[in-house]
Amino acid sequence: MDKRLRISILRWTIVGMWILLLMGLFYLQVLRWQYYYQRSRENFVRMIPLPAPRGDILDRKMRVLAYNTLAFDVAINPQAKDREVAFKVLARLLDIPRNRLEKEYNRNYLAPFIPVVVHKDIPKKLALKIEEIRFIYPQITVMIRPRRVYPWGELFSHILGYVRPIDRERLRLLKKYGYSRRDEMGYTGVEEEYDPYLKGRPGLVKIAVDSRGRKVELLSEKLPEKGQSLVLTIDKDLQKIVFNHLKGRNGSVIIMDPFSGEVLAMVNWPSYDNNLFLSGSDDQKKAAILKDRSFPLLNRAIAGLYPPGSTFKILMAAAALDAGIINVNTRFYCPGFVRLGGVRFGCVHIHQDENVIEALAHSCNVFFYNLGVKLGVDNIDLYADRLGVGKKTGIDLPGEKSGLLPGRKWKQETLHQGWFEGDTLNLSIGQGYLLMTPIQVLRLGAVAANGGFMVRPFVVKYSGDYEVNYPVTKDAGISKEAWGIVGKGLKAAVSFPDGTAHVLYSVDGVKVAGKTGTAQSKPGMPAHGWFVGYFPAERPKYSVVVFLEYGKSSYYACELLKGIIEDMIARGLI
Amino acid sequence: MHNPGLMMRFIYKYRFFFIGVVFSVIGMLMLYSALQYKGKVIYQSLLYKQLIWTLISWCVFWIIASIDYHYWKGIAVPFYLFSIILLVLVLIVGDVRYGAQRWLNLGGFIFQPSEFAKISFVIGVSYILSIPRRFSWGWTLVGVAMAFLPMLLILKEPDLGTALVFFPILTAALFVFGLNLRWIISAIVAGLAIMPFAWHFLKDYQKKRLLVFLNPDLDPLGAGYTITQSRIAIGSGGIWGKGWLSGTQNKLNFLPERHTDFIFSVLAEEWGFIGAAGIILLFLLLIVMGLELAFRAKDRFATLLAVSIVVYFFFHSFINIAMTSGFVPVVGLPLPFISYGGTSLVISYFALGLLQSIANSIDKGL
Repeated sequence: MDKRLRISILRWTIVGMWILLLMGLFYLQVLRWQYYYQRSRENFVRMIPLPAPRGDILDRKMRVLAYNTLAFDVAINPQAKDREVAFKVLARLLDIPRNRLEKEYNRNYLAPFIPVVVHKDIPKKLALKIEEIRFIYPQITVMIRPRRVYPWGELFSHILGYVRPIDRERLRLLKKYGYSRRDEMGYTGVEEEYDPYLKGRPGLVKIAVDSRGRKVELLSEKLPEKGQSLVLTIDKDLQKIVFNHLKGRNGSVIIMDPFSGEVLAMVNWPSYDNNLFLSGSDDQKKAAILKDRSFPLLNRAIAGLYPPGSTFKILMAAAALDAGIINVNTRFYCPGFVRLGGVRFGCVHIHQDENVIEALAHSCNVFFYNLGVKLGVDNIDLYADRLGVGKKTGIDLPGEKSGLLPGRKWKQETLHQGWFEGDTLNLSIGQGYLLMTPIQVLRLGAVAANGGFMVRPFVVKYSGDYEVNYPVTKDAGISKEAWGIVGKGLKAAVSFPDGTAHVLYSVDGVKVAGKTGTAQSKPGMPAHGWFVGYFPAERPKYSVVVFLEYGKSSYYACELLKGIIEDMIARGLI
Repeated sequence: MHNPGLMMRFIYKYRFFFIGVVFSVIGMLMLYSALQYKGKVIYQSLLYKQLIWTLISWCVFWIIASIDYHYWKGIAVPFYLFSIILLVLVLIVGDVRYGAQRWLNLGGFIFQPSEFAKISFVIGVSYILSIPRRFSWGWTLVGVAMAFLPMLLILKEPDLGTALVFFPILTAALFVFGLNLRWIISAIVAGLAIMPFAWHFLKDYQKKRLLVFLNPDLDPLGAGYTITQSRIAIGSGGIWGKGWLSGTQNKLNFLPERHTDFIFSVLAEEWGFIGAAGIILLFLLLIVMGLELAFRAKDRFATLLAVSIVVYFFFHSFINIAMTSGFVPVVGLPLPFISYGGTSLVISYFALGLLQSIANSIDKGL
C-alpha cells in the first residue's frame, strides 16, 4: 500500500469520526434543545410567591367587617453566615428557648434563597427593634405579610368564616384552579364561598440562583393584586341589636328583606371568635371551641335541623285554601283533641268552633289535623315542595342543610313502613319526621309577607363594582287570595287578645304579623320556641325568624323579637 | 502589506501560526466568559496567566518553526529519554493534587511531565520509524515499546486520559510506517477483548467514572453531576447559543471545571451548535492542513511527524468534545488551545511549530 493511500484512509477515518460527533451534537443542541433548555432554566430560575392581601368585607352601609393588617414574622436568612449567633440573639429578644427556634427553622426551611420564618406574629415594637439591629446581624430579617382581622369577632363569625392555610384534601381538589401549598384560604362563611373573589392574585418574584442555590439576581417581579372587596347585605347595626338580644340563649335569629331575599341580620348563639382560627393563633383556645358540646361553630340558621312545629301551619293553611278544600268561612270544631285509632292527638285548648284565621291566631291543632286529613300527605308534600321544604334555599353560604320532608316514599325506603294517618296528623302541625332549618322557616314567612313569591336569600351584594347577587323570585304557585287570608290569620295571631303572639301587640307603632311554634324536641328535653313573621304588618319591610333551641315556649321567642323591634325603633331603623 | 494578494500569501505561508492565533482568540474569549460570576470576572489572575502563557507559546512556536525539523532527528532519542526520566521523577517527588501525582514543581514553575512526554514520544517514534527503509517487525516492536514505557508510567500517576493518547498516535504512525491494516484491526479487537480484565487494574475513581458514564443518574449529585450539567449546558445552547457571557450554566456556576476540561460546554452553551460546529471545523482544517504536509513531505521523518502531530490534535479535541457531550466516559483530556493550562498550550504550539517548520521546508522546495 502506498503512503498516499494510507494517509487518505487516515484522513477519511478522521473526517468520518468528526461527522459522527457533529451528528451527536446536532442531536443534543438542535433536536433535544427544548428539553435541555427547560432543564437549564429549572437549574437557575426560582419563584417566590408573594401573598396577596384579601379583599375587605363591608356591611351594606360600607362599614368594615373584615380587613388586613400587617403581621411581622422573624426570619433567618439561610444564605448569611453566623446562623448560630442569630439563634442566640433571637432567643434572648423573643424570650423563647433556642432549641425551639432551631426546630422551627428546620421545619420551615425551603431553599437557601428564601428566608426561614422562625417565629410568627411578633409585636410591632419588637419588629422595629429587630430592624434596628439588622445592621449588626444581617442574617436576621423581619418579614411582613398581610394578616386578616375581624374587628367584631363572634358577632359576624358565622357569616364571615375565617382564613387559614389550605388543607391537603382541599388542595387536591382545587389545585387545578391555581391554589397551591401554603396558600391561605377561606373556611366557612363568606370567606369560603367567595374565596375566588377575595383572594386576589399573588405576586411572583423570579430570581436567578447559582449552583449552590444562592440568589444572584432578580429576574422579574410581579406585585400582588389585592382581592376584590365584598359588600354584604347585612346591616351591622341590626346584627348588633339582634346579637345583644340573643346572646346567652342557644338559637338563631334571621332578618331578611321579604321581597329581595337580602339577609339583613343572621345571628346564632353560641358563636365563636373567628380571629382565633387565623394561623398563628392560640391553639388551646381553638381546641376549646372545637370541643365545646354546644357546637359554637355550627351556623344553626342554615345548618341546624329542627321540627318547625306550628310555624308549619302557615303552609297548611295556604295549601288548603289554594286547593279549595276550605274557604275563609269553613269552620271546624275543636274539642281539645282528636282520637285516631285509639291514640289521642291533643290541642292546647278547647277552641270550639273556628275558621282558618282564628285557627292560625290560636294555633289550633285540631283545625289543622282536619286540613291534613282532607289534603292527604301527598298534597301536603306537593305544596311543601313548592314552598321549598326539604330543599336548600340556595343562600350563598357553605354548609347549608336541606332538611327533611317526609312522605310515603321516604318512609317506605328508610323505615320500611307504610304511611299512617297519624303521621299525616303529626306532619300537619309541623311535628313527626319533618325537619327544617331556620332559614327555610324564615322563607315560609317571607312568602306570606310578599304574597306568594319564593325568594332566594343571599348575604353578598357586590364584589368590587359588580353586583354578584340580585333578587331571584319565583311564583310559589299558590293563589293570592289564599295568601291574603293567611296574612289575616298571621296578623290576628298578634292582634287578638288571645292570639299566641299577642305579646308583640304592645310594640309601639309597629304592627307585627306572624306565627308562633312550640315544637317538641327530644324526649325529656324542653320544647323549641319559634316565631316566624314580618313587620310592619301592612307594608312588610322585614321578615324574621326567631328560633330558640330548647327554649321551652314560643313566648320567649316573641318576647325576644319584641326587644329587637323596640331597639330598632330606638335606633331609627324602622 | 496593502496588497491583499500579498497578505493572503503571507497568511498562507505562516498558516499554522494563524490558525493557532484563531484558536487562542477563541480560547481567551471562552476563558474570560468561564471566569465570570455575578457579572464580574473573578480569578483575574488566571486570565493574565493564560495571556502570558499564550505569549510564551507564540515565542516557542517561532523558535521551533525557525529550526529545520531535521535537527530533531539528532536529539529525538535523548529528548525521549529525558521525558521518561521526568516521568519517573514525578512519581517520586511530584506534587499531589486531586489525588493524582502529575505535577513537577521546579522552583515555582509547575508543569506536567506527561504533557511533555507526549510530544517527545511524537518526535521519538517518528524518528525511530523513519530509520528503516521499509516496514520491519523489529522496528515496529521498538515503536510499541516506546509507547508503552511512558504509558505505564503515566497510568501510575494515575492519568488514564493522557495515557490513552499514546495508542492512537502509535497506531497511526505504525499504519503509515506500513503495518498491515489487518494487524491494526486485530490489535484493536484484542485490546477491546482484554478490557474486562483491565478493569481490575483501574483505580476506584476510574471505575466509578466509567459506571457513571454508562448511567449518569447513578450518582446525579456526585460523579454524574458534572456530565449531566455539561450536557444540559451543551443541549440548552441550541442552534445559535445563549450569547457570549450569557450562558446560565456557565455564569451561575453549574459547570464544574469549566475553564479547563469542560471549556467546550461553555462554548457550546454560549455559541450554540454554530459555534460548536465552527470549532470542530477549525480542528478539521488543522488536521487536513497537517495531513497535506504528510502527503507532500519529501522524507519519511516529516511524514510520520506530521501524521503523529495530526493524530495528537485529533485525539485530544475529539475525545474532549465527545466526553463533555457525554458520548464517551470522562477522561481528563484538555481541549488543545482552548482549555486553561500552560503546559498543554506550550506543547500544542510546539507541535504547531513543528508543522510550520515542515511546511517551510516543503514550500521552499517548490
